[in-house]
Amino acid sequence: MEKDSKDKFVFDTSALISLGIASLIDKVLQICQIVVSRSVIEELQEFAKFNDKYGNVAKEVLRFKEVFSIFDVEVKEKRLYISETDNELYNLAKEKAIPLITDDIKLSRHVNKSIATYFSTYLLTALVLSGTISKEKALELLEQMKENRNWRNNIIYILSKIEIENL
Amino acid sequence: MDTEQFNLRISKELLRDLTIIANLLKVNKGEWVKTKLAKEIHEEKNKLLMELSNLYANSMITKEEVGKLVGNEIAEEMEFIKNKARESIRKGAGYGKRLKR
Repeated sequence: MEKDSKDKFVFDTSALISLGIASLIDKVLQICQIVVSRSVIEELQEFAKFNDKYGNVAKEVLRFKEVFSIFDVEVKEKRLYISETDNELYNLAKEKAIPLITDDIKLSRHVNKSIATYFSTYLLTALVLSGTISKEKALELLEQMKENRNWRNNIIYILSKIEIENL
Repeated sequence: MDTEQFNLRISKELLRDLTIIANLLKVNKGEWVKTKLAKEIHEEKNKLLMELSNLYANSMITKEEVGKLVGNEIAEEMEFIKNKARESIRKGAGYGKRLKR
């Protein structure tokens, strides 16, 4: 598939890190076009300064940045309670009328009524149903992605596991 | 940060021990207790909310019951996450099917 013929999705840093933890960025690029604001690249570069787990994941994600569609975004509609980068991503998704992939609950809740938002697990099932990875592999990768254990992620993990098992 | 006063009556023995700790660490007793209490509250809250989220995600407790236990704000957030997680998986599946065709 050519870059421009694939469906486009705006990704925030949290979603790219989740997919990076599961080493899925290359596979995701096979099925869609990753659209980001320049500030997302800058956030990843900040993570990449450190040699810890997230730093290494950020470095891995940044290996693919040449094939990302990167935009300088003007914030025309500012939403309260979310960061500057999140406002850029909201405006980018709204202007291009494409969904925002984020694992940031606060961002998702604040923009949910204006744009389509999905957790990064959207891509897991898209990869399974497109025949790119098996259901078993998706469940294995979901285990890796749930590592950041807090009650919010715990609900995403349990629900996603139930839904993937029923695919 | 907004604060509110919260008084504690503790045994003399516990206060003596607290004084020993404060003297050895060269810290203020109140500050040391506040730091320890904040850490303990944070960990215990996370642990209990993890258990509650397990029950809620597995449909063993309703949103209304969650609301009665921990307040409507957390109950609303849990409901949002549950619905969004389902929606993400199902819409992702639809997109994947479309790609395969």
